[in-house]
Amino acid sequence: METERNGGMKRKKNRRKITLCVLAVGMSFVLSVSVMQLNSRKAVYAAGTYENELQLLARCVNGEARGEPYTGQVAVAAVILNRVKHPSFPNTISGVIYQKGAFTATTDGQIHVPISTDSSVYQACRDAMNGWDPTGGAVYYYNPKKTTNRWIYTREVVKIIGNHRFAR
Amino acid sequence: MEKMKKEKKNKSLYIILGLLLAALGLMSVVGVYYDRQADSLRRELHNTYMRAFHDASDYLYDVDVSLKKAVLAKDAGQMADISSRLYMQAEGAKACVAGLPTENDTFLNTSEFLSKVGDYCSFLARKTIRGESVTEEEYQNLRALSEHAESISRAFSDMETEMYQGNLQIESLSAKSPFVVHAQSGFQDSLAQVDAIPQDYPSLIYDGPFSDHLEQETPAYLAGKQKISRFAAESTLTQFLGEERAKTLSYESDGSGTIETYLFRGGENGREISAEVTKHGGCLLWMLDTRAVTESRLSTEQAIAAGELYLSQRGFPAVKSSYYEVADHVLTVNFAPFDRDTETVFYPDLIKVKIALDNGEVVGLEAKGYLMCHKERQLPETVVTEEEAIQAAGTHLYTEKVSMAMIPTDGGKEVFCYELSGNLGKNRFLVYVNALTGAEEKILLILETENGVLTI
Repeated sequence: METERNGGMKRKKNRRKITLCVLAVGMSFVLSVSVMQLNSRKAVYAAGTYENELQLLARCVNGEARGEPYTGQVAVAAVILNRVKHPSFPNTISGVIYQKGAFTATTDGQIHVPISTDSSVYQACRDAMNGWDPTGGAVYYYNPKKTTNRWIYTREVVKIIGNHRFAR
Repeated sequence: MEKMKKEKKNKSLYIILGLLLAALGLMSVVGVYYDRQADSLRRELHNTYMRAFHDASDYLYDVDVSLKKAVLAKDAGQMADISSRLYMQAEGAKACVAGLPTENDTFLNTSEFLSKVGDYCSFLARKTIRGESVTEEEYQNLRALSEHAESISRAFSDMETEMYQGNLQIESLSAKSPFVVHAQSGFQDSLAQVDAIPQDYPSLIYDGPFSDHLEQETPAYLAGKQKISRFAAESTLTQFLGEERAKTLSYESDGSGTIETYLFRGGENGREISAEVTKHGGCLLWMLDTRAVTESRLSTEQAIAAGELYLSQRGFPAVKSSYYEVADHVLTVNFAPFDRDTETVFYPDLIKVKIALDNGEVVGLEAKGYLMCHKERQLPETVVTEEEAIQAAGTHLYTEKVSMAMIPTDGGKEVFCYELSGNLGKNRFLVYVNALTGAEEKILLILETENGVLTI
């Protein structure tokens, strides 16, 4: 009799333990999700068309050339701007950036990462918008150690900066 | 005791089973939820692709028809009307084709054709409006463009028919890549076939940004200059950067293209300095110094004066500043050579300079415009008087100042103009009137912001 009662208490304890565990897991899941939302930083940057274009350009260049030397970042930004002027490519910065398969930033989420206006990437893009073009008008670039695209090797290389070759 | 143990075991087994079933139930609910979501997104995406494709097909047909009509347009008004429509249709077709899920290299030729077609017809419209007539050669060009447009339009129309018959689909998620939307292979092949249609139209040489002659341009300032070695190029670095900075640079690579160069890079402690020196003549093409400038001690005027002095000490002619921008304690200013005798500014020969606002040091220079365009010029006699020019700008502009300017056209040519600066209401403008024909060549809006003065 005693053991039965004890057994009964133990079963109740077990059930309570399981419920508590489930609740704990559920709560921590909900909490972590909401904490993640709170932590998503919202950078503040100047409004206006010119600054907006710079922001978009910077996000793309960041995705492509983060960690590259400054000159390389100016060069990537210049390639995007050169494409805007080139007859075979779309006529706007966003048209060039969002073209399918053109830049990895649009597929891996880097395009959504806000770039601070005093970061070096942003300044590199500003220099490119102001006319600095280390690529001499190139519309293609690739890293020969990493690229698998065979077609791009048929383009004429005009500049080599760091690990990248710039071609037209 | 044994019976109770067994009962306990059974009870825990039931609990585990119950939890497992509950988990499975939850998973399938979640699965159905995400599947429904994916379906809805798939449908939306499919619809955007279908819209892009049908619009592209419609626009291409319009381009075909407009080009056929353009061949018969003699009247200036008629040519202007057709070409403005055609420009919009060609741009529309280009934008829609770019909205399809294929990579850019699938329709490089088609995009190029569409850019040139719209641009070429605008050029012809401008010609006729100015009273010039379209030459027979230009009409033949239009015929050739029209034939090419017809081939492209027919190919798209065939693809559209196939789609309606269910034989062709735009996008797919294949087993090979189930998480990346891409063009279905049949569709990709059809587009590639369109792009492979032989580009049988003649090369178009005209005053416009997509003219074929622009690729053949050579730097005017470097004409006749000797080729130098990269060691000799180092003296240019010292001249423009000073000993301190120049000695941190080392040669990196040769550059080819329109201007042949030597690339140098260096700097220290995270501060990157880079520069390109031309092989012919050893001129500085551009340089950048990423020194972090933390405060502004110079005024805009002082900084611009420092830039002017820097250029005059290095063999550049007298310059005038046009627009400028201040960011992160650095001023970026555009300079154009200025001839005091004729009061003419030569805008094609642009030199851009970055000046650090802490000590006036030049931390950037960009001279491609100068090297491509600067040359000895014989200024033509003005045919139009200053009063006529002011009248030509119309009554809406309140003209404050008149000077002379050489301005570049989109097609790489130059036009000698009166530069009228004035305002309409609170907006300030620069209006350029052709000094020979009195035609209004360009209108620029001056934007004065707290960060600088820009023109668009």
